[in-house]
Amino acid sequence: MSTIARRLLASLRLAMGWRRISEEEREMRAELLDHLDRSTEKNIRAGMSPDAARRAAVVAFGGVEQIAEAARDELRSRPLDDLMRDLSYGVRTLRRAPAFAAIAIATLALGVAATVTVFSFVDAIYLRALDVPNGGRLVRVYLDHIGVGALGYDGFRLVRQRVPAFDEVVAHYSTAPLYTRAGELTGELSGAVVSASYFSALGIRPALGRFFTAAEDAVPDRDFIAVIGYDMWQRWFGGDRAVIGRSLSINGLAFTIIGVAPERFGGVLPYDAANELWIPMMQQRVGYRWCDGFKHDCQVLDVMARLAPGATLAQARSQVSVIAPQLLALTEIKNPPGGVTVERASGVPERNRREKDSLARLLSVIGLTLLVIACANLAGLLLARGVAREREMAVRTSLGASRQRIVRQLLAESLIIALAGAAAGTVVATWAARLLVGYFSSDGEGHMRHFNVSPDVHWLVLAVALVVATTLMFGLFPALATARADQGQRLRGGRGANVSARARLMLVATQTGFSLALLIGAALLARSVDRIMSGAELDSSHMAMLRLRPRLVKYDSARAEAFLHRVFDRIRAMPEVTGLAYARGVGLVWGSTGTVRVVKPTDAPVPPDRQMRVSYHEVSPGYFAAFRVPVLRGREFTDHDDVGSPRVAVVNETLARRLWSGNAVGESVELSDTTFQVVGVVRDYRPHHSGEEAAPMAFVPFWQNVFEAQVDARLAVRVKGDPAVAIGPLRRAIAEVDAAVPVSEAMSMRNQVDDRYADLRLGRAMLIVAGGLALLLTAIGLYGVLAFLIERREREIGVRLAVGASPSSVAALIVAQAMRPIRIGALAGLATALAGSRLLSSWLYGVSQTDIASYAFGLGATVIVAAFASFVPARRAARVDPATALRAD
Amino acid sequence: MLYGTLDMLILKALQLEPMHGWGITERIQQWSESVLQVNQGSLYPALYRLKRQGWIGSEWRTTENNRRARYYALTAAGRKQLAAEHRDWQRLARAIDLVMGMSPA
Repeated sequence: MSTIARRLLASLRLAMGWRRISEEEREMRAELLDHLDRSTEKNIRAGMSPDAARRAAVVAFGGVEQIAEAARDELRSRPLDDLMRDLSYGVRTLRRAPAFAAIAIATLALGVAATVTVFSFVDAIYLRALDVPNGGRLVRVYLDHIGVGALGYDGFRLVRQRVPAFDEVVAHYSTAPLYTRAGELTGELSGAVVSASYFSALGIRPALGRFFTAAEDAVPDRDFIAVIGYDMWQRWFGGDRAVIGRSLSINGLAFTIIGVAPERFGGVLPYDAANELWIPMMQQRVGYRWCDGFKHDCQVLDVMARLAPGATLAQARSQVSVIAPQLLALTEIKNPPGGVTVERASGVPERNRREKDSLARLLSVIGLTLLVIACANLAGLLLARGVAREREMAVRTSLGASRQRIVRQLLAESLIIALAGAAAGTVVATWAARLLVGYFSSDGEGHMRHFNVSPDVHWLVLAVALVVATTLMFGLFPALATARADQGQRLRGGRGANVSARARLMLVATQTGFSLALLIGAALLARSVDRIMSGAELDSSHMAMLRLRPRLVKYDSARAEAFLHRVFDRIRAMPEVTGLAYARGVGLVWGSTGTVRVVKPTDAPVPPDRQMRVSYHEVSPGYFAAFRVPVLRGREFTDHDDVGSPRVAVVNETLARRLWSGNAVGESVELSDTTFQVVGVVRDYRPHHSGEEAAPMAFVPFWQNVFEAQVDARLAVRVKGDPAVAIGPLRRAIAEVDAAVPVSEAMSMRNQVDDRYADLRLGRAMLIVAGGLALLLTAIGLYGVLAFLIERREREIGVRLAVGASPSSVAALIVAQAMRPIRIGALAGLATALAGSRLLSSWLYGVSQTDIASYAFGLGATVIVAAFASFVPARRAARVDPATALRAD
Repeated sequence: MLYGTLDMLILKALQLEPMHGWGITERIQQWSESVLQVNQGSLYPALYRLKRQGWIGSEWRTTENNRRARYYALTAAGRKQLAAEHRDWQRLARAIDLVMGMSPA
């Protein structure tokens, strides 16, 4: 040991209050020298010369230093020293069993990581307050009514005047599409229209410049100022500090940048819409286009507030309830079921929660299941090891080790495993959380979301406590057995072993059940994803999607039409383009424009509420050709089907069959009281996945402007090469026609589908990983218990072989034994999967909850892996040499 | 010396009166008619061990010719321990005696 290390150790000892050591050492030395003196005196009395007497005494004594050293060892045995010694002994023991240690630690790490990751995620969605300084004091105030819960501008003013429990009241519209241009750069940004109180209520400070003042947010349409997000500052302006004072075009109007929001701040709906740009409430007409937010019949603005110091949520609720009738009177909604709600601004807002509900629930179940499996596996491992060491313990006891000592030793070993596992689990959890964040950090178009799903300390502590408790509990098993059983019995290997074998078989059954359930769930979701990705009967290969939004920059329909026609001509002329479809749609391009009522004019009149409703689509000429949907009879729309020509429609097979039992071409149909001539019938296609029923559909020409004049359009462009590559040239072509018109949602159709089903794919990925891990752990558990059983039954197997049993029958015996817990576990697993698949029901597209193939897959995988895990021990059993086995012990 | 018996012998040596380490070796040697020689290298570690287990206590005293020495004395727990170890020893010794006393038939 180097001098430095020695000094370090010495100072460590001092620090730990071992000052007495030096005193005791001095006394010890005095005592030893005294002893030496007495020996010398005795020798002199016996007639030796003083020198010789001294020498003889020293020789007999054997060296003061060695004795002092040995005595010191005894002296040092204080609790902490004992612990250190136990720990270092434990490390050595574990290093002699590296496979056990590695599996145990990995199992623990998995359990900790799964629990922490999953619950941190759920916590972030449901429980975590907004990640801003005043997050804990913020509340949301809204009408409990799906879709239209905003209190609006008048409501905001009323709350501001009449609720003293709030010291700041905020109005915000946080889902404003702001089409922004700065020089060459353009893009549709997720913006927010906010009152000047927004920033101070949240308690954030600008990274650069300043935020809006109350004076700048007092008069409608006067102050054209904007705050940009940190990411946008970096991305658009390279973090240039001279950005303050620069001009931005937002939805066609010039705004001046006055500040940059702090890093990682994405507004108050970070999950739903991470904002990158903020404009004052008084500019809400820029942010919202469908009605005037200052009028009382147009509720755009949502209300948030900050609780005043000392004010409680209950006080705020009672004060709000007093003005609730007035708030309701300001809105169109007459009787919202829950009146006016005041809730803490934690997690995802209630109205966005429902869509995340099933994901959160599924993830929780996966996390808990993995924790249970991990604990079961760990318990099995520790039990096996305990039994294997029973003899070691017995030997140590007979050699004089006290029971307390053995318990301490085992505890130390367990502690090492638990701490190593917890540490590894924490690392994995951090990493997994980062993966999850990555999954949610941007939407399909690459807009950043700042969603804090970093591991939560509370859950970390809980998970670590849980696995440490499990480890210590099962790690103590051998010590408890030592306490119980009589020594001789244990030396022979007795009852404890059988109890443990049974316990371990039960543990294997438990693991089998849970891993089977996870596997079945994984198979169900995998098949569901498969149906969606490959099953939709719209050809998504080589399709690039774009959305043109002239409405955002306030084009009227005439100007928009001229623009759109020039864009379409331009695109059709591009060499890589092989087809162009466009439509008016509310969702994705293959979604419908809406629903219409359908009647045959030749039928007896039917009251509107009894009429059949079908989805209808306002589609372009060449729409079916571009999507490769065959036209079975008649024709599809052409450029001539416009406002001036007779109204025409195309129907799909199902609608044709329902109304005319076959050929519909030439017939008349009434769609929401307007009469159309059917000119074509297209083959049924299922837009989302092959599992859905073919639904009746009606199509009308985009340019006949039947229900409303066209302004915006969604495009699907079929190209020769990679659609993602084609996006750039397409955008440029559009910009050449008119750079002022926003282009958004530009991505390949595949990408759009992926984004739409992100939750489903995440659920699938998690289930597949969890199922695989669970199966692996189960296999390890099964292998362990079988190997152990065979070792215990080696004599019995030897006897069987000696009296003539064939090796294959012995192997069969082992496999049969292995299959017993597998059978029990599989039954339990099937039942669990049946009950648990309800969790997945909202995600099962074209796959039944009781899908035979998925259950067969899960069962098959489990049985194959179980057979594999039992094969190796079984073969070893078959190869037992009877002579050796019988001679053993 | 037989493994595990040193502790018992030390306790026994202290049964009558407190003694210092050297005295213990002398007494054991004397009582065993010089058959048992306590190795000093194991005596002191054993003393500290017994002390830590609470079976003996110690204090510094001034001796006959004005020298200071550490005296060890049995505690109550030490007395009990001595009795227990003595019983075990008697059983074992009798057992060995019985075996060794068997005359070949």
